[in-house]
Amino acid sequence: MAWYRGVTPPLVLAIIVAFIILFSYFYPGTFVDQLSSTIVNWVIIIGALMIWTGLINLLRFSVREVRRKVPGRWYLALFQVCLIAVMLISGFGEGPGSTAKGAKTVIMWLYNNYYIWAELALAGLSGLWTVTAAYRAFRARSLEAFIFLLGAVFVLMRYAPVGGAIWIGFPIVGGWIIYQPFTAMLRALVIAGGIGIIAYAARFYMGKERQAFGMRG
Amino acid sequence: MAEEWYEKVGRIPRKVMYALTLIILIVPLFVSFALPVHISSETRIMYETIEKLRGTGKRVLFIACTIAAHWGEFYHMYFAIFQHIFLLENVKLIIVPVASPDAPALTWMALDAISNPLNKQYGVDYAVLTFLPDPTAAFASMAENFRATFTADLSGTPIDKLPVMEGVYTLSDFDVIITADVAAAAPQVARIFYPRFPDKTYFGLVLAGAVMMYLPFHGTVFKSALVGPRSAAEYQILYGGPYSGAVRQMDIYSAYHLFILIAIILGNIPFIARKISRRRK
Repeated sequence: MAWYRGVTPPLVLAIIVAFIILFSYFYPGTFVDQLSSTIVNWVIIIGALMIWTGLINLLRFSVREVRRKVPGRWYLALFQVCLIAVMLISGFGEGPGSTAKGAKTVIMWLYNNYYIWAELALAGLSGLWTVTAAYRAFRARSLEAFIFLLGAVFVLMRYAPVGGAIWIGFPIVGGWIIYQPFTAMLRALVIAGGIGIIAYAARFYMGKERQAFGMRG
Repeated sequence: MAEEWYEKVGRIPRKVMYALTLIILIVPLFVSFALPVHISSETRIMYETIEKLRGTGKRVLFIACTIAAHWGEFYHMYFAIFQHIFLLENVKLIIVPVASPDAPALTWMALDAISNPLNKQYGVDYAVLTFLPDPTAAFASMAENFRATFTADLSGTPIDKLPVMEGVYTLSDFDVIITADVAAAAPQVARIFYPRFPDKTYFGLVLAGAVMMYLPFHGTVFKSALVGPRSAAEYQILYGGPYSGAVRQMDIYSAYHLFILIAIILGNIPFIARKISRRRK
């Protein structure tokens, strides 16, 4: 197949925009730079619109579950739709200043007294699982597992506020594990990821990466 | 054959472990053990750098990207940083909520707990600018032209009417840039801010469980970071409060960490005892 057959207007537009952003890095203060700034501002606006796309999608999904009366889920979906409606009505009804400092509004009351604590309660459950996971999974079955376990104990005690007070070696050894071998490994991952992004960008600039447009690459 | 004692240690039911965990978490709420808190070098570096801004009239840019689920950890870190800056004379704080729709409300929550008792005036000593939803675009736009990125603050007041914004045009006009949650925004700081403004001092606030997202940039892009409420407590001890409650919670943190250590030891007892028993036979 000829290379130009798969070239579509959205793909051409995306490649042009990508080149403008790329060149703006090398030519600051030029027309390309100004154009790049405008495009970046557009992205901010599009990003704000994306929140609405997500909201509509979530509403469609929830309403479908309520209509079909999906066992065990429909009432949760209904609760979710009601919460979205309450948040939207209170947010829009009380206007742009409703989330401003010191605002005594329904949306802020809901946010401060319901939303944040519900999220925190969910996140807090991991505190229980961590203990049982440590009890069941951290077994020194081999020399490698023992070394891993020893490292984990040092790092654990480094992050314990009392760790350094029990033995000064905990923060020293734990810190060494975190900032030397562990960070080196993470940097290797980041560098590998960076090389991967360059390869991806090269494919994109050549028009070979089309999955973002719903086409096969 | 009677079951060996160590086999029972290896089969503690999950419910018992949950119950013990709850007891470990609840008891320190009512009984203060005043367990010592070791101040880490990372926290000390951050504290000393910000302390040096005292009376200089310099500005701190605080980029808030925190989500509500992590607020339990971040609240104390926000509180510590904001309070320390407000305790310093003539240091300005400009906050930009980015990426997380939760960030504006969470920022207000921390500010409300601090700013009024310290007689700090909104618009003069600090300001919260418009929310920017897309992190990459937000960082790129701020690096390109900070002033042009924002026309108003979060309440809709034009930034030209905010005295704290006088003389702020680019990122060069800030001395310290703090990012929270740095796990979400470290790549943007490294890719967009740092190459253009390498002389700025970058700090981060990060969850203890997400520190691996920050570590690749530690010591290179970021000078240091606060890692979880433990760091917040250390920081609050360094500047001398009044505290957000993080210092009081350190007993719970210490007890919880020690319990995890005990759980690991308990989990390994039957395994090691079985090996010793086999060797003896």
